[in-house]
Amino acid sequence: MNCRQFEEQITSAVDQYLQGDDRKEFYDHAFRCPQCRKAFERERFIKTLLQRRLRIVQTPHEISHAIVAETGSTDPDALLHSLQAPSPRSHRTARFFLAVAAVFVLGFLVVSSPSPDSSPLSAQRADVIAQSAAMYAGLLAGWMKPQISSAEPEVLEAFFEGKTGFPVHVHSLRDYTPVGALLNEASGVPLAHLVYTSNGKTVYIYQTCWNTVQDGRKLKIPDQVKKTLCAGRPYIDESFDGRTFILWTEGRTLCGAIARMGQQDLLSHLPLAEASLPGAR
Amino acid sequence: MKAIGKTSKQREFESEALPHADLLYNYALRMTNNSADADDLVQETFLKAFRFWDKYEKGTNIRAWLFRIMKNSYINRYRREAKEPDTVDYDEIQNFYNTIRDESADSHDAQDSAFGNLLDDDIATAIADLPEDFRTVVILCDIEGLTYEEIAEFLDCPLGTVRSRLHRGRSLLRTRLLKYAKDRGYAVEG
Repeated sequence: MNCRQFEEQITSAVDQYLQGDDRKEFYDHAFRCPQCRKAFERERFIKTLLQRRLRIVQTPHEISHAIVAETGSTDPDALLHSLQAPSPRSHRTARFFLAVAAVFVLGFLVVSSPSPDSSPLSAQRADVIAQSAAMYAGLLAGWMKPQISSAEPEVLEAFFEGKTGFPVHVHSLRDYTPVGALLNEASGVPLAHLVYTSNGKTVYIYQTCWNTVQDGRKLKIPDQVKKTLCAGRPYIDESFDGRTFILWTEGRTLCGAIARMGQQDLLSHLPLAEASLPGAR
Repeated sequence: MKAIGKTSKQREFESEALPHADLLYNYALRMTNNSADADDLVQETFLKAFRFWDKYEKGTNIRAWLFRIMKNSYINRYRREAKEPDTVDYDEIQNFYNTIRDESADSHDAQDSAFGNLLDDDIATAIADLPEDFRTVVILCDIEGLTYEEIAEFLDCPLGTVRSRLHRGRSLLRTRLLKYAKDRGYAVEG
């Protein structure tokens, strides 16, 4: 797909009409071409802005009463009831929120205060918990930077595609928008990192290969944590100086989340099955 | 409460037409950008629909039928007053769009933040200022959540026309919002 073909597909992509190879080619091009990606994000931003700011308004009752009166109906309550039927908007998924531009991602990460534990923890490189804590601290302190900045889940998915050997999930976090991603490795094992923000608050997501962690030779977690995860429950730790750390598994992927908020607050933003909660240690 | 003496026409009308009042009301509100005008337009639409209920072919898309009645009412009531041309000069719009796209391509990311400071009224006004054809598709797709197919049926035009009007409409809207933001001192100079 070239830039001209991309531009012709932008509107269809914004409205989620692209499928199959067309969709893949579109997001591949968006990943490769920053200018086209910007054009796509600009149009998507406008749609998102309208959805967020211009809510569906319910027809005023006095209007519905007037219509009933004029059409000779004797049952205005029935009309009012009928007016309560779901509007078209209610069928839409509220998937897209305000897109945060890349400049804010980098700006936010750079200006945020370094956390007390901002050292890379290199002595514990194989420890998943230490790795994710170090990456989180590094992103906040600014010495780790996203390799790609985008609010589009599809663009971020394309960034990881074919590079990890395990599925990277760009989750929809309630009230949070993805803003950037980074891919690195520890002992040859790919590590995927995603950053989400909302009103100046950050949720960091870490993902790696669950099978490799279970194997324990290149990456490891404490046995008790592994036991919790193998039982299908998330591991939750609130001892991170006001931050909460949650680990859970999704198929072949081990996912971790860290944020400066309480357990319940963080859980409320994550796409974890309620049946598996709570799993606090 | 069971209505007494209600005719079958009234019952049918209430059950089939009135559930779509919100769709029409929101369209009217965004087209006129005035709640009093929207009230009048919705009432007029439903009264016409009731009057011509016998003409409605049962089983067809009632939303499209109601929408066409409203659109005709809107044209009759408001377009003449607004002195808006009956048709959009697409070449002119395209040229304008290309011009502003080139001029503003570099500074949008930082400027996006300025949109967050705009009032809802600013956004509603920017929509109301769009040329009618573009305004219609933006309202129906982005605010009312209708599919391209539905919009194409409403407007009796090809899907490709819906898509291209959406693309141009959003671009024009973006330009207007950037101008508002800049006028209010929010936008980053680019």
